[in-house]
Formats: sequence, C-alpha cells, structure tokens
Amino acid sequence: MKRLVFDPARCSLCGACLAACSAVKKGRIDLVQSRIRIETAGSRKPLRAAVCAHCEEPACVTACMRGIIDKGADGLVTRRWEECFRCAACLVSCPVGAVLEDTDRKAFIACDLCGKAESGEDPLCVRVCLSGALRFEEETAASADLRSSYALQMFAEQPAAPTDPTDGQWEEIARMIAEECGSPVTVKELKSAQEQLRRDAEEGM
Amino acid sequence: MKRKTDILVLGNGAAGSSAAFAAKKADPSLSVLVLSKENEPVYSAPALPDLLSGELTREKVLVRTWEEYEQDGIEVLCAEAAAIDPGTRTVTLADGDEIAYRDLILAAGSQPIQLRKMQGTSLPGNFVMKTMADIEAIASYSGKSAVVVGSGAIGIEGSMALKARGFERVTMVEALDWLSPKSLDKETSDQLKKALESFGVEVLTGEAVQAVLGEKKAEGVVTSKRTIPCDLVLWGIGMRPDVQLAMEAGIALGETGGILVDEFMRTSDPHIYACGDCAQSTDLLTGQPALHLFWEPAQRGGFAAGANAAGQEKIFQPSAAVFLTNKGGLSILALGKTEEQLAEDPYVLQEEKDGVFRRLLFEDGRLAGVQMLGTLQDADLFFAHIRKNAQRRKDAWDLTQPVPDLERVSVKEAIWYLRKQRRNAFVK
Repeated sequence: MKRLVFDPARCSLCGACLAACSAVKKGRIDLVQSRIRIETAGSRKPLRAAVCAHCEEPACVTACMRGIIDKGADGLVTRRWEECFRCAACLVSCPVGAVLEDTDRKAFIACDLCGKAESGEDPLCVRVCLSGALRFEEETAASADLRSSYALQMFAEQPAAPTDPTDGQWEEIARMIAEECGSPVTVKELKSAQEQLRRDAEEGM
Repeated sequence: MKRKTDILVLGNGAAGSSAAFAAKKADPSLSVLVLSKENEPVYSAPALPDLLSGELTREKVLVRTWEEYEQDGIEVLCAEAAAIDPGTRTVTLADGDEIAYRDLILAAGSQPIQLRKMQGTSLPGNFVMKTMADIEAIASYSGKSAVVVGSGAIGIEGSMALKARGFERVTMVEALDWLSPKSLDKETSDQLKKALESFGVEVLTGEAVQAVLGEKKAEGVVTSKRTIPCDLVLWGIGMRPDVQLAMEAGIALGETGGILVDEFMRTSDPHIYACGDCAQSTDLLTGQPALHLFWEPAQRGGFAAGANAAGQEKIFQPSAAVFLTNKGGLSILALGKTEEQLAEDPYVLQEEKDGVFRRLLFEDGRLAGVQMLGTLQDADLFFAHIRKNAQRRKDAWDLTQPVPDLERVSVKEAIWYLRKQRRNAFVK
C-alpha cells in the first residue's frame, strides 16, 4: 500500500498541503483542522509531517475505547467516526501524532488518504506540493528514499534551500483545490494561510 | 447436561470479547463460546461516566451488537462459571451444567474494592461504578448530594458525571495527601483540584472515610475530620483482579496478584490462557510485573489470547500505565514517572498558562514523565521520549541526549528541543 512520505529538506512551509486537506475535508481553509501537520520547533524549519501512517499494528486500534477503529485487509486504518465518544485514547497512543479532533463532527479523526489507497493516485495534498516534499509512495520505495535522504544529510552537501511557489504556481495550486472541492479558492486565501502557518511555526505552536 | 466447545471464554468485556472474535477470525472452523455474567454485548466501561452524566445513551457505549456476535458465529451464554477443572478440561456453571473445552480463556476482569467491614457500607445508597447495571442503579436512586470516595479515574469522572447529572452537592474525598498520587504530583493535583472546583465539585484531601451514616439508607459520611451529609456514596477506591476461579483451579498467580501469563498469554496450565484485568502484565517502562487495569491492554491482550488459543503465535507486548481523562471539558494526561519516582539528577519544568498546565519531569536531562491538564498536545512526542529513555540503558545504540541547559529553558523551549531530537535520533 502507498503511504504519504515527507522530506523536510524539500519543504518551504508554503502550507498548500494543509490548505488542500482542510478544503477537501472541511470545505474551508482551516489549518487547525488539516489532517496533515508539519511539525516545527520555534522556526520555519520543518522537522517532520504528522499524518496517519496506517501502521502495520496500529496502536489506535487497540487503544480505542469504543472499538471503532479498524485495520482493513487492504492495509487502511479506518474509523467509524460517527460512533466516536472522544475518549482521546487514539490521540494519546498514536506514535506519530496524527490524530486530531474534528470540531464540527465532534470526533477524533485522522488522514484516510482520501480514498486513494486502492487506485494509488496522488491525493490532492500531494498534487499541490510542487516542491515534491510530500509524496505518495509504496512503502519499500519510501524507506529506500528516506535512507538516501538520511545519507545525504550525513555525508553530502545539503540540497538547495526549498523555495516558495511562484505566482504562477500559486495560481495552479488554487485551481487544483477549487477543482477538487467545487468551490472557488483564491491565491490570497492561500497566502494568508501560509502566513498563519509561519507565524505559528515561529511562535512554536 | 454436558456440552462441548473448542474455545471457551470466561468474560465478555474488552478482553473476553476481543479474544472470542480473534479466535474465530484466526480459525473459523473452531466453535467459540463466551460466558457472560451480564446480559449485554461488550460495552465500553471507560464510557460509563458519560452514561451516568447523560452525555451518552446506552447504545452509544456499546462496542459490539449481538448481531455482530451472531454474524461471526460466536455463541454467548449468559451464565456464571462456578469452577474450573483443568484435569478434565471442564467448567462447571453456577446451575450445575458442565462445559468441556479444548482451550479456555480467562477474562473475568476485576472487581471494585468494597469496604464491607466498615459501618454503613452495605446500606442502600452505597454504589460502585463498574457495570452498566451500576449506572442504572445510581440513575434510579434519588438524591441531591453525593460523596465520592477516592480520586482516581472513577472518583474524578464519577464526581464530574454526578454534577453534570444535576446533583447539587458533590464532595470528593481522598484519604491520601493529594489527588491520584500514583499518577500525579502534588502540584498537578492542586491544579486539578482548582479545575474540579470550577465544575462545582468540592474536593477534600488527607481525609479518610471512617463510616457511612444512616439507619435504613446512607445519609452521610464520617471522615477523619468531619461529617458530610449526603444521599449517595460512590466508591472509587480501586479495583482488584478477579482471580477467584483461577486460584481455586490451581493456576499460578503473579506477584501482583494477577494471573501469571507468558508473552503468549498462556497461564501455568497449557490449555488455559488469561487476558485483561485478571491477568498480570509487564510494564513497558519499568520492565516489572504490573497490574494494568486499562482498556488498551485488555483489548490487545484479548486479541493475542484469542489468536493464540486458536493456534496462532501472537506476542503480547508490555503495556503502559496511561492516566487519561477527556470528558466534560476536563482533560488530564499523565505518563511515566512522578517526581517521587525520579532517580538520578531529577529536574522539573512546569508552566501554567491560559488554562493549560504542563509539568515535564526529567531524569538525567531526559524526559521521564509528563503531567498535563487542559491540553493533549504533543502527547505522542512525550510518550516517544519517555519510552525511549526508559529503555535507553538496555539499548547499545542509545542516541538520546539530555536537554542542554535544562535549568535555563522554558517548557516551550524544552518541547522544541524534544521535537528536534526526535527528528534526529529516532523516527517514531
């Protein structure tokens, strides 16, 4: 099964993936409700992405006090979120910090790969990541890539600093999000989300 | 009458039901029979306070429906076991019927501790909060004031639930010096006390309950310091594993009083497994035998016991004591060591801001414990560090580093360092 893989060295913290996620799942751009989160530590330097890894032996499945999280034969971790009573055990047990509270649904949720697990097509968050920091890859390819990126960090020159999307790229990102959600999204909204994300990063949220 | 089954499960809680479903899934050709004391499908005991408060309905606390048992071919008998004979592999029921098994899974759970010798504790108006029936009993008992004895999860969540249910006066009484002293330090307890008081719960610590007053029903509680009039007494002073039948059958118990099991959940008898609250587990952080009467190890242990009884080999990894409450606007999380348990070079960082309280406990510059109120943020980060640090002496490739200048950093800066270190030293 393909998983979301994140390479912090290529991420400029543009916030397009978070904006896309909340637009798809919530119908609005709302960074706090994004199911992918880029972890930082008091600066704009991204450390890792917190997003459901659809673990082999998911801790959330056994922690769930309602028994509503399942690991399917297809590898996908799914939630019958309508039944969630918000005990928060999944959030606390998740080894990658991928669980968040959906404040509208009043339920704890996590990335469901937007139903792309079977087809293997890139979900919107990956398509709007034009720098290639966020990718949708088979696990074997992903781990090989992580190893090489680790080796790169250890022994080679650092890759060039990641750059923000150009104006033309912002337009393209806005178009992709609008197309998927069926409602208009402006570059201005995306850029203000980016500013918010960077402020939060610097304040160390 | 003597009937036969391949797998017999005693208990239908988190552990027993998980074991039954896992056994059937591992080998659908096996017959699986569950003995349930209660006439309910498995429900979420940790959600019972929400049922009491009225936040959740009965249906909302059920984990499975009877239809699901039927669909999976799991038979349930509403009956109580009276004796186990490991020699003939037979369980005798309270009504005298016998059931022969190939493999037996013990998942009897735990019983709330009740002080039967104390004056007044058998009067009507004394309650515990362990089963759905307990909640129904409390709900149908009329009263306006309650004393809640004990300050663990049951005490805290029970007090909040009674208050939310409309009780005018709820007083929580803890005999020890502060709240949940096994999990929380005094500083955290002080914050929790303030939070509980803001919900209208009165909190008394360092006062032991000595008697329940009343002639025909509970009318008050006498503590070492005062008399508190009340209509209802809710006891939340602890649980003990239900090992009676196992003990009588000669099955070995561990040093904690729970049934001794190996990593495959096998007991001292080769055809008997145990899981859930009645079984002893190993603490993930200390490596020592422990009683972890929590939902997570019960469910996970059940899955392992069921699969193994059906012929698979599934290892049960050690479990952790996680003190977690997230109900009615109050969230509490405590993991790892308390201050008293810190060994070399202890250091504590603490911060209270905008209703969020965080207390980070370090040992040798490395995170060993955390206590938080009003937030669950970075729980994964803290857990990862606490787990890693607990194991670091066994780890030849120890990559953990102490937080530098711990004396000079804020809670926030310490968290930043922990985040960076996780990125550099270990993935999960």
